Amino acid sequence: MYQLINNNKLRVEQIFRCLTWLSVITFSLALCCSAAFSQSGDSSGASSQEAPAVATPVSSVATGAENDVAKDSLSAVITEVKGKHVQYSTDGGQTWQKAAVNIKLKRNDAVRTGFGSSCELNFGGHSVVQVEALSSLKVDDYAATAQGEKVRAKLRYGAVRCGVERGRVKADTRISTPVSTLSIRGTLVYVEYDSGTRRCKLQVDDHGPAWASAAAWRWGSGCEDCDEDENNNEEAPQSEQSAASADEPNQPGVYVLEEGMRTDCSLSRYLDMAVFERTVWVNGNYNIGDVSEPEKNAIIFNTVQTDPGEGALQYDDKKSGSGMSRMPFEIEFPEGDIPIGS
Amino acid sequence: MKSLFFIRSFVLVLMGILVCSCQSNRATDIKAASLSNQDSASLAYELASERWCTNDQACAMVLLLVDDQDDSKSFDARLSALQTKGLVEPGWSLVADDPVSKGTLGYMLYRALELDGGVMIQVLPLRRYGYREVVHAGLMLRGSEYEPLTGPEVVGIMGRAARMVNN
Repeated sequence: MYQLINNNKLRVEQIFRCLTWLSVITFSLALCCSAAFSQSGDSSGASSQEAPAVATPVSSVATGAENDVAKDSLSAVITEVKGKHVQYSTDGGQTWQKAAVNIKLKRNDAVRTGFGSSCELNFGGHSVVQVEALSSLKVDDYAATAQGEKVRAKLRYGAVRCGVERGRVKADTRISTPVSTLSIRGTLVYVEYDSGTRRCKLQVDDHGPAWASAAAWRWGSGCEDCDEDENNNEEAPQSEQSAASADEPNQPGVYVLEEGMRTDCSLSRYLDMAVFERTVWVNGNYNIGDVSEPEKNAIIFNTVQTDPGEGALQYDDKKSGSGMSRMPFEIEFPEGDIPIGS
Repeated sequence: MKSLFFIRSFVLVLMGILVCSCQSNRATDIKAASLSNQDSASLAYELASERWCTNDQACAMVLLLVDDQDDSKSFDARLSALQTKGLVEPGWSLVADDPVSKGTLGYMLYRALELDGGVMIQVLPLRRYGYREVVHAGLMLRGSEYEPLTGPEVVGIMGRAARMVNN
């Protein structure tokens, strides 16, 4: 090779000179490209920031087949926003806007929260969903029909508290996660889903609205959420009224919900104070409804919460994919193959 | 002629290396800078769909949990911010793009949430015992302190931590 180079000194010199210039040009081009890329990255980062808050409510009227009067009579409204990091998306999670009170959500809209933030969605006053910190919830569907009210929501990650009123309307609210679906009819629930371990914690309030109705009746008027008729129609006996009025914190027009007091008149305040005492864990390792022994033991009532799903993704789990070599009901043919065609 | 050939080849190789390293540094800086623009809601939403959670993202999440803002422009700035708060030990050698381990996140959370630790963490403030304290608090599943964490796992852990702070 060097003989060839020595023979063609001039040509080699030219080649090296060209290569040097080429590398210099490449180097400068690379620098320019990286600078341009960084600028575009900055601009894209800026564009990925949340759009300014839109305080005007979004119209909940849908298009096409969804323009059903019966369906649109129910709305999903953000009724409470706590903290700075509550955002909603109307385009499937592409862009997010800062949420504010009285914003109406359409079907397939989503809400997400950050640290120290939470929000409350109200579906027609009969179903309330409180989205807790660091959670993401998608409103799949809601509709009011002659049969009742239907609400469908998907929890992507995080936790929600959901309360559904019982009695005045037949409400069917479902909160689903990738591993479970919880149907709520007239009670309060807490759903927490961890998408990393695919564990879902479902909790139910122990007493439910039955006791709440009794409390509302006992305290009588003064609840601003109650209809006047409801308060006036049910009159407590004189003896009970006088006994209650001794430490009655509520005056007409003012309602103070203290710990221990329960009412079905104010679902959201009730939800804030609900104590969830019954806990069920659903583990994503298993099929829905396939409850393992530790999970079965973990369906606890009125006891301290424990975490039975511990080690949900451990590989020594007998029901994990590697351990499940053969189903127990698999048919064996000990004497040869299956006779085909006979 | 032979020496000239080697010198020029060396220069070419050097320039190539320089260009490549320049590009990767720029990419890392851009990634770190993009993290600083995000709030906790958007960072968690992104992490929930990512395979692994990097040390940089985990540090950003912990800073957002503690301060509710992350002004750091780079991973080093983020680390020094955490060090001043006592959430990260100076001796740790963390790489920005490596997946965060259970021990690292556990120790940071143990310090951030000011959990009541046992005897071992008081005597030996190591990541191993920080992770164990966080497991005991119900924030993290058992495993190993070296075990890398996925993005959704970190979102779940940080979510439980956030709700623990709120309650």
